[in-house]
Amino acid sequence: MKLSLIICTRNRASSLTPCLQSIAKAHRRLNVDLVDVELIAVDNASSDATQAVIEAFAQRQSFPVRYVQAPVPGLSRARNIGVKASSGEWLAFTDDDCIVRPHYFLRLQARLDVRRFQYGMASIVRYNELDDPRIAQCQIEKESLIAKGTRILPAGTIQGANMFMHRSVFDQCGLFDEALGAGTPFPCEDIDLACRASRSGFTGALLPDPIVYHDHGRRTGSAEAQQTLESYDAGRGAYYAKLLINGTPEIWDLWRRSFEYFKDKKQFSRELIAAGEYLAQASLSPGPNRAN
Amino acid sequence: MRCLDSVKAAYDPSVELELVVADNGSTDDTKAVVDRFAGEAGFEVRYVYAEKPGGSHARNRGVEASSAEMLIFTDDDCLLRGDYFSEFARTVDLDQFQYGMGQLLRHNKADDIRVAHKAISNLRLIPAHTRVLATGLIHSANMFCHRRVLDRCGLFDENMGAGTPFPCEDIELASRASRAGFVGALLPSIVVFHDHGRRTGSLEARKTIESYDLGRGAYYAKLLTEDMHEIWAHWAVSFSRSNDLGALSRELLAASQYLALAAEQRAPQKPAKPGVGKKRTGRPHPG
Repeated sequence: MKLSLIICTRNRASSLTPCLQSIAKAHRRLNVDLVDVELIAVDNASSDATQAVIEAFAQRQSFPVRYVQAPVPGLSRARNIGVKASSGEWLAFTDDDCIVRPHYFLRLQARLDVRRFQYGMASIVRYNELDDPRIAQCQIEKESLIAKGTRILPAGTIQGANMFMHRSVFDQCGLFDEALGAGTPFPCEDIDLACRASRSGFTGALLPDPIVYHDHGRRTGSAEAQQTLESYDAGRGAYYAKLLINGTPEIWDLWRRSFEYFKDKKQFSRELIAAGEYLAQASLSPGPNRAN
Repeated sequence: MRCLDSVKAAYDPSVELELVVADNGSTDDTKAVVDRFAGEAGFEVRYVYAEKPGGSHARNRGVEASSAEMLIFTDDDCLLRGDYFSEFARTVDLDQFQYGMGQLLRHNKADDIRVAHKAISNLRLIPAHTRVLATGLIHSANMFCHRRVLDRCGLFDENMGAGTPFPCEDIELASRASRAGFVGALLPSIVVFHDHGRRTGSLEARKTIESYDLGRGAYYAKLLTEDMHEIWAHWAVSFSRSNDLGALSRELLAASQYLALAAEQRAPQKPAKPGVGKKRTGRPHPG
């Protein structure tokens, strides 16, 4: 199996090393006869020492580490450049503030099975106990599949901090939507692509491992944590709005149920604002990824 | 001034008329104009000053200052047709309907017909207990309402209307009236000419029309806060027909703004005052 791990980073040179080192450590554990790994490190317009850090790291590794530049800021753009620069049949994604467990590549190699599923995610655990558990944390107890053709994947089902896609998903469904994702108001580029994959007939998987630790630093109770949580509402709104205008009238029903359920109308209000903002953008330009 | 002149020209002495002018914080000579007019009108004229900006706020102060049983609303850029009051007296029928509107026509043919315009060919009733009234059905530029409707349903929502982002205070009030069991009517014979000046194809016309989407969104949001969950289905149908992304975008933005505003007003984010004592019950302390 040939696996490409794609990491995008921007101005985190001083804290990038733990992430890179965890990948090197995981690589030392794997059986090179069974899996070929390449790391694509995408530098998203950093102005610090990111390039030097990555290139120094690359030189010390026995496996291919490619430094690639994504000059226009935006996580989706960076990821797409990474996808295009990669050559693996499976593409894995994690974030530059993540630390992969040493079993990362071993477990991917053991679990990934294109005959059974073609996209998915595995567990994400916060690295620091002080961090807010509601942020980018997803512990999966046991493996389950998402039936192909599932029309709506609930927001949060697939998260980019520990995600994998078979290349055929990109070939058929296109890349990450560059109107979404970190750097835009709508952090939902991961679930958007996964949902497109599902609607194209691909099966998804939620796996308990490999585990990735997320050192996001959003301390419980902090203003940053609150901002991040609010951005999830915005991502959800844009994601559902995009589905709505792509032939999914069931979204109205979903909103009806959400509205009745949400005691906190301000949270729902943020979701609708983002939906409105996303649609305002969409009304000005059709956008690249209106598939399915 | 022309608006007032048209009221005087339409005056029918067989109708007991009181004109209430609600001045929404004017800094020009509006009061002087009204006073001069009152001196020569031939009917009762009351002047009310409402300092806080907001069309609904001003209108509500006008309602509070008024004394008649039947209330008619129009705007300061409107002209009543010469037979307005006599036709009103002839057609109004409280047994049949208790609120509604008349025709609202362009005064100037160069004005955009999509802006605040309503042509009515035949008298039409809006059944009591109609849950959702379509926006555009009732315009405050030529609207009437019996006082008991306001007594039962409340006044105009001051979060809506001129001076707010949401021009829907008229349909929103009508909606409350309908749900309370009142019947509405669209009357062809009471006519107001609207001199709004939004020329066809102008930027102002487009902005005004876009503001109607904002009003619709806020109106839907308010209905949602009143547990009218069928609004979602209503919204779905209207979007599937129009497929107008821009309009839906504005509706959603306004709905969310209104929801946030309503949530804020229900539970204002005020910091708790320290050292607030316990409520006195009036009973003597034991021991």
